[in-house]
Amino acid sequence: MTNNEGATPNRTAPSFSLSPGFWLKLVVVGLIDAAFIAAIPVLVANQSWMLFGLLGLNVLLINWAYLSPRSNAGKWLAPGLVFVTIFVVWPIIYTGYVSVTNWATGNVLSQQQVITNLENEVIRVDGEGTSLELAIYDGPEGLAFLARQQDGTAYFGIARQSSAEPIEDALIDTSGVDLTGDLPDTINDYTRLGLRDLLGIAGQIEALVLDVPGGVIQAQTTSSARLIQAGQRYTYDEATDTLYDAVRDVTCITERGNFVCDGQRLDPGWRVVTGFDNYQRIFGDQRIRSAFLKVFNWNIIFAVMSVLLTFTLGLALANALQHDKMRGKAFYRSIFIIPYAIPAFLSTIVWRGLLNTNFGQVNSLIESLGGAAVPWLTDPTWAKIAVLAVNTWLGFPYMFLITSGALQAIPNELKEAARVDGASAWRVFRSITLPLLLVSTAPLLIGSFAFNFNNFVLIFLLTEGGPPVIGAPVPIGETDILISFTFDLAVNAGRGNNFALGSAIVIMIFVALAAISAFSFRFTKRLESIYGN
Amino acid sequence: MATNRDQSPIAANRMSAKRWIREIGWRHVVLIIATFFALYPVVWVLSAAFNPVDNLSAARLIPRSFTFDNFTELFESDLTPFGTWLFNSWRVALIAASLNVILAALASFAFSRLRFRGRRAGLLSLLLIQVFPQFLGFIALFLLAQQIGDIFPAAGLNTQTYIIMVYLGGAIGFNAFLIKGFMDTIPAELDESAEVDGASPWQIFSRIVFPLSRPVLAVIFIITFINIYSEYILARTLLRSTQEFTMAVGLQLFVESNYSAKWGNLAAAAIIGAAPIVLTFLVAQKQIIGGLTQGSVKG
Repeated sequence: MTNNEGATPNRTAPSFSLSPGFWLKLVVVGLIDAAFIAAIPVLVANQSWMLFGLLGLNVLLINWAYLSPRSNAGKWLAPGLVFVTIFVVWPIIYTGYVSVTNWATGNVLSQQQVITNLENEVIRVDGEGTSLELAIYDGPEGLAFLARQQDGTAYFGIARQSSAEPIEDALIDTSGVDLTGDLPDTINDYTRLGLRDLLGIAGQIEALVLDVPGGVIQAQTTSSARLIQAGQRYTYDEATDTLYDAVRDVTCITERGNFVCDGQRLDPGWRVVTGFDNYQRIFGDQRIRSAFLKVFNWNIIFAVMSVLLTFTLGLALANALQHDKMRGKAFYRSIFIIPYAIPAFLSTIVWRGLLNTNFGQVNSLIESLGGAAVPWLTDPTWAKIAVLAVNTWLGFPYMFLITSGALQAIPNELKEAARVDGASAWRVFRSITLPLLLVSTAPLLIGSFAFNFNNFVLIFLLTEGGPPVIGAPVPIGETDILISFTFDLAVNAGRGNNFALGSAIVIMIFVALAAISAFSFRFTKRLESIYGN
Repeated sequence: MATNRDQSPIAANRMSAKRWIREIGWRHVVLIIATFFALYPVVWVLSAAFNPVDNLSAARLIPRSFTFDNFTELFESDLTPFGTWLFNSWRVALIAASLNVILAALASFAFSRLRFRGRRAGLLSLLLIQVFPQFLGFIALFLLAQQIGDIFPAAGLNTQTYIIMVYLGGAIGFNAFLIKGFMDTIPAELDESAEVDGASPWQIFSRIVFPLSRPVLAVIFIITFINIYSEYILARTLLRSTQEFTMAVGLQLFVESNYSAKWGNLAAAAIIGAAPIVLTFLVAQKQIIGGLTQGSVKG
């Protein structure tokens, strides 16, 4: 690459040429800017400041890359960079943020949204037990109520079923009508119903109400009614950050994303940064810790065993094929590639059917050979064996391919020299072939460990993490690994989504992967210094 | 092993039967057992797909009669629209993988041919980010989808647009790294002479470097396509309704409910889903495996 140095002294082309390309660029960048500007009101209304920043930054990047005369590599990198920042880098950062919040079902809104919701909650209070005089009228828009309080205030308007939606402007203008003495027989187009008419509909009357400002008037009999006032149940006080509950007459305090009234948490809560609470729960909360450790433990065993089994089988087959006089090499190779070529999700789903305890072909085969049916996917131990067996099927071809290549690269002179010195075939393999093989394949083996550490598809499609651990305080399965456990916690749960706790576990997987990579780097360096040329 | 030949030059052409068994025969025994293991599910799937008895317990290795019903039935159900899922899988993977290769090639050109501030840091961070597979960010990507959906519902949760953009971002870094390595091997003298003739960087890219990189771009396209086609966790998280599912999500939910009863349909679906990929693999074996063993991971 050094030969390219200085090869491109003047690659910044004049940037304000008015070529068609320039206009196209202007239109595309303009459209992106317009879309962003159109999104601003929604972003502000939703208080999505982080998304605002993320999108804004990328829009700025695009503008700079394509419009600034000083941008050089920018226009080549910008399109890819935008997608990498938004969909790869940002999720890592955002996972870190979510992991220090309480973001879960019941705490998804912002505090402002929660307060608005709570303040809209309405309670109905009986108006002092006062009874109103009631008269019922019939008119063009159906039945109407005329109700008069003892102080003389009268309401006249269209009645509705109490179960129906409230009518706005139910009241009818009565100016010019005298409502102080006896109630009139007609008001505008409405005629008062006599006793005889009322007898027929007496049963329905009690289900009718009249909407008035601040409440409803409900008929009690055909001639009396009561006023039920609607009141606001909760009132938020910004100065003290407290909430008053009119029903229980208590002041609720704010605590970690919820209002707490007399020690009781009020739902819904809102999202708030709670620091390292989730991490403390994983290590401090006995219930979560034991579940987490059990899953973590199996995760390590699963990943190590997967690498060992696939490597052993792959190497054994590569070794068996490694002979000058072997025939059918190409045939065997093509066969062994097939499990690798089939998309893993498909073969895993098929294996799940084959391993079915009652109907599966594997058990039919065992039974036809005189054995007893094995509960492959439902017994804790057998499920683990099944998971490893299927993963061996999925993974041995890869190991076969890389060890075949590595075996061919080992010089024959070394082995011959050892044989001449009287070493047995096994000794040659153990002391020469295997160490040299490990040097060249170690990074790939560690890569395979990292891949299996998060092998969600296999676990989820074969056993869904099951069978469930009986008596576990947190629902986990016997074959759950961290990523499938997290998936159940955050996305798949029947009991709600715990995004925050899930994110904390993902962050710990990140840390584990970083450690594996760092180890891989040092390990290969060390091996090279020992065995390398 | 060359040692054997050196020890007994006479036996090089013809071996005694006993010797053949000791040196070669056991190898065939091992390899044939492995062949059975490797082909076991494949044979059962082929058998079940063409078997008219559509039931797991009644399945036999060699069916009594032969039928295509298992295949045609797949495309007839409205509850489990397999055709839609198949179409979605292909559409998402084709669009995302093509755009991915194009954007990665653009970035690779900059890293390979241009000198700018932050070039080394950029390359290094591309490699570092790749330590963390994208799907681990599934919670954040889910929440981001909800937030984007508030602004642009057509690109939010449960849309193919969103998941295409997600997949697009997912592999660019690593692919750019691989393509850059290949572009570095294209002699710089080619660009230099073009530049003397007055070619712009864009012309050098589109007329010289891009066409010469086609072999590696093709391999990277195939590997990226297969990975997206087989991706499960993000598709399951981000696609929520039957009509939007990819095949991986749809089939899993399909078998979760009625495993033993729909074995024939499942086998047929597995064949339709796997055949194009397996064929590509067998045809372009050398190139794909070369790419995969260099460090890409296949799902």
